[in-house]
Amino acid sequence: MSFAVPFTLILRFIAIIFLLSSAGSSHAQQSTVVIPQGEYRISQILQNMESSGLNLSFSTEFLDTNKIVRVSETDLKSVLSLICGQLLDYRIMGNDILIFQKEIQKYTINGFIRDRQDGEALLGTTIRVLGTSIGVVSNDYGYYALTLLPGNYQLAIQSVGYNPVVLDVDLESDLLMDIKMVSKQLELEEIVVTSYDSDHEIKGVRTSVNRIDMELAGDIPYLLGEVDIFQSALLLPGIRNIGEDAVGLNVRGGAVDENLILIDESNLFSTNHFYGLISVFNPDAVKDVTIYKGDIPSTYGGRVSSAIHVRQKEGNDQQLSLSGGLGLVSGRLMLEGPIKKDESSFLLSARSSFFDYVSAISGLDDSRTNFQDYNMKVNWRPNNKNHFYLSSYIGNDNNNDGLLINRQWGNRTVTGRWNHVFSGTLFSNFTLNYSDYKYEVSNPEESGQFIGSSNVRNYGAKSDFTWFVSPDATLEFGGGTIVHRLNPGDRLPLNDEGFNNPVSVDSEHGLEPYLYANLQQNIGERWIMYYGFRYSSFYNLGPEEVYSYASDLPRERTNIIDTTSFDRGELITDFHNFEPRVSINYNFGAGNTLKASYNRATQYIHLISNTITPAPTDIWKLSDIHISPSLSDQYTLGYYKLLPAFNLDFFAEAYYKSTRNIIEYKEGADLVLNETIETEVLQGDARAYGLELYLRKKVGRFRGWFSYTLSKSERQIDSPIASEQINSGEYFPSDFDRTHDLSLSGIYSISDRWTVSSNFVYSTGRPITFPEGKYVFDGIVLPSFNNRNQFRLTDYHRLDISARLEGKKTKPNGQPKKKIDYWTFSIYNVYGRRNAYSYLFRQQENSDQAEVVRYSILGTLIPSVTYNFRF
Amino acid sequence: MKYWHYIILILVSLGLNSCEDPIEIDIPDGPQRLVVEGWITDQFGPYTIRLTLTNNFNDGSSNPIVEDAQVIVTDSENRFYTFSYQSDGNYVSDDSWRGEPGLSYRCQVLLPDGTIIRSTPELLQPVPSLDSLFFKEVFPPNIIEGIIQEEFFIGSTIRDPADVSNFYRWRLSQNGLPLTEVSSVVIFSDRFVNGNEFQIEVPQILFGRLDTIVVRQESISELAFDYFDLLIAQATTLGQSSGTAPAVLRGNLTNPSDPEEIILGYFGASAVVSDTIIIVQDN
Repeated sequence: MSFAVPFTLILRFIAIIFLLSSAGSSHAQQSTVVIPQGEYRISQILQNMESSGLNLSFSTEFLDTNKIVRVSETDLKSVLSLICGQLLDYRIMGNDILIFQKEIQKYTINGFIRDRQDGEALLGTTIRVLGTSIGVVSNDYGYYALTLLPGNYQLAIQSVGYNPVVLDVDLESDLLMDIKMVSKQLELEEIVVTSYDSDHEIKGVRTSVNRIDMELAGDIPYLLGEVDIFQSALLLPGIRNIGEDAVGLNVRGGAVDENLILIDESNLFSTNHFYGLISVFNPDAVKDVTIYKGDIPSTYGGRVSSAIHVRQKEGNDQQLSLSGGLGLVSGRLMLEGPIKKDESSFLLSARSSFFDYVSAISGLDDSRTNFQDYNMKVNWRPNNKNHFYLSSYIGNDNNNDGLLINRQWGNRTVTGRWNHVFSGTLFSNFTLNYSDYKYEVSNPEESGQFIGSSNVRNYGAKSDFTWFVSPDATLEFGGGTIVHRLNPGDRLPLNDEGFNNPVSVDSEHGLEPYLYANLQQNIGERWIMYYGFRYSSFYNLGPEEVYSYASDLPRERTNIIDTTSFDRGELITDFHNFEPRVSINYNFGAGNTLKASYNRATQYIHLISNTITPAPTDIWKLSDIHISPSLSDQYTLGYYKLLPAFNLDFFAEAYYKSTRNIIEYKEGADLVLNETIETEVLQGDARAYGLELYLRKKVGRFRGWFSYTLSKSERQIDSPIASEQINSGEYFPSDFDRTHDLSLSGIYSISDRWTVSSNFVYSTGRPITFPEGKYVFDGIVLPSFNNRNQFRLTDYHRLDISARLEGKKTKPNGQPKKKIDYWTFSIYNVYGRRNAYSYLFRQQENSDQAEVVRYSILGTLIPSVTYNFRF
Repeated sequence: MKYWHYIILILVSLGLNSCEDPIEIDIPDGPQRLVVEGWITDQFGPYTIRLTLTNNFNDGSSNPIVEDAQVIVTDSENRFYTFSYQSDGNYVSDDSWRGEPGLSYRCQVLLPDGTIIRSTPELLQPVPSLDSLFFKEVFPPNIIEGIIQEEFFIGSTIRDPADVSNFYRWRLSQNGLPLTEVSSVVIFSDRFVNGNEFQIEVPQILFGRLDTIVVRQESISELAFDYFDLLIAQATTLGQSSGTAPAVLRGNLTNPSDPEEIILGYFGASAVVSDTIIIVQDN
């Protein structure tokens, strides 16, 4: 079987050579009667020909010799034509006759797959030819192309959260076919949906990918009732954070800065508001969230742990719609609609906190803390070949300490994209983007006034191509460049009046070009291979003053032996990395799939933080002469099972990830306006391994999932210089190591108006450092610490519940209402467990004794209510 | 509408107050570490160097002391000063000498088991003068149970010399009682104000009307500044999400024959000036 393709090819090749070499040679016997009129098996005719001295070459691959034909014209040419039929052709050279396959014109069906309601492009949709194993998957922009022989086909189109579509196609020429699908959400009344669909069944889905289903995610309980992508992600296997108000996510034992977090292809450097309680993604404006934990497609790069891509909605291109909501923390409003129906649309969305409730946390009544998010997107589709997008996100956090100091920080991104269809099978995407994270602190007080600021900027340009080579092969390739510009900090007086001197730290410059390619190939019906690579480079460029340190001494300011000045644009150092990415899927039938993958990734920008969880003041740092790029290798093995009869899908995945050159801060690191930040960090290795189990029921009256992770995450900071070791150079558990991590989420639709849901989470306590003793210095009782993370907090567990009440869908007169609205009532931490965030080891107040204090952040039950609407 | 506002207020304050509960946990015994604490100043002695040992964090008794050590201090002109054991781990010098600005001092301890512990040399830097203390009333005032609290904090203008980096420590006493809590450790540097006349305010320590406050301004070394900086972080912000991670608080003492050994504490040298302010209205 597996020889079939090459064999035919070889045969055809030989035939062509043969034909070329004998072109113009003698004409064969013409009108000899080969066989009398009548019905024959082809094999009989061929035998007859051979016995009359003709040499026949053909392959039984394409010629069905058992076929019966009716001969009416008896001359050689007519008989040969008859045998060849539509698909074959022949050539006569003397006594030799060659029968070969005709070059048949194939045709391409191509187009975009969209939501019928609002015109959103649907990525990851499968288009399958019924009755065959042929199928393709729409790319990240919802585009697909399927090349087939002419004929009649039935195409089955499936997308997560949408009703499957079956289309009859009569393919006689290239066919442009945009497919519109209907969301299942619109048919909530018929809650029992019988057809199965699942991420895992869908052909071409990779290992270790989680898509957050925004519909499913919208139904579970949340802290303060704010639908939150990160909180939802935490219920998936392999994803953790440090604690309840911790910033960022730890994916498979990786640090927070090891996640590539994109919003419409632009980088986000800060992902949380309110110091971690809420993530920056306004759920209203989000279309899709994909988390690649293991097998990261070669399209993504620059971070070693994961890629999290948040795509904003495009804006309804059918009708104007206003939606919004009001919760305890924030209010949201979104307007979307067509600029020109079916051709262009826009989306504008804003979210703002309206209650300074952090003042309640801190007890500082004068302090003010608030945040805002703005999302904007417009798109224009002048024709079927071109599609333009412009999108932007602006986030803002504000904090005033009640005295004078005002802090402000946030991310800004702008992305411009042009999708162009070159030919039916070649799709392209060109992106220009800009991303900026800025932190600003100011003191307006007359004499002490200053303004301090730091920022990280990325400018990116890239092109991506998807070539649907054949139904069995899709090639994605492209490349791009990121320009990094980091300003670690300035602290400038506002005017000449005050007593502060200006201080500023040199900015950093880097250039990160990359190329990638990835081929998805179906081999037979059971195997799918992905092989690809990413080749990334990094150039650290001037202007900069670079210090050299004595090589055998600790890297400290006092050990600087030389300073080199680099001019603007001058190369300081460069790195080049080849990152292979391979994945093999084997489908052994009945909904069982086995997948294995290997993935390498590189990271050239690092977050340096001296606090437990990242703070807005943290410093980003480019790889340079002193700080090497991080490099990770990850191996994943997974088993996926579909149980359509119960609407269940299951997976088990095991992974091993080792990362070189991770960053750890030195003890007591001072990061603010530090000219020699390299003296505050250490580099080492990390390893993480684990087993993830996931069982989900996506449709029906009862929906929900179970997720469990057994894992270990460790780090090692070793050095020949003792003061640059941590824990004597031995492996120690990372802050985000959790042995067991379990979560259970269930959603039950009681009626078409009431839905109830619940989450239960349990995990092993996080590693923590206990003091090895205590002592007194200057009359202060102090804990004495040594080895990091040798103990653990008590286990964490929590139960949340929520109920959702849909507003009446019909008016009293029976007419359907245009306005859709619902209330969400939720209780976070129902049994009010005081989960330890950490232990404080400190001196008792007014005493010379020491005490251990359990510190809990959200230690009581937290009720909330939210109202949402859409016109 | 008003009710609504109250409901939010109640829910929010109910839900989001972080809580702290004293708990009992077993903390295994770690190795006993030596703690050295001593300071030389430009004021006449006697100076005290105290040697103690760490004990278990849960141990309610006071720290063990080291009695049979030999303690000396040497200066950068190769003079040396002996310290003799008095009591409670304290080794005391005679009062015939004082530290001189511009010289460096280091201490050396010979432990009963023959181990030698040394500090790095600490430069005794001159300290800028302190002569313009002021106080300010907290505004807006805190209101506790309907009563307006009259609270004050102090500050000073300091003329920082331009030619060197200066690091300062203030030790405060209130009505004759020294403030020893970690929250009363005040350190600052001239990093952003080098060579300028600048103002320092200490709003975290509050005083009442008619309090007499003595401020002792000490010059400290950069190393001592970093030490106190980390000490404050370790004693106050540890464990909170925005806090620092627990770390070894290394001072300037080592065992030269085993440089990896952790010796706790600090041996420092300071020049000292003092000033007094009484909080009376109409500053």
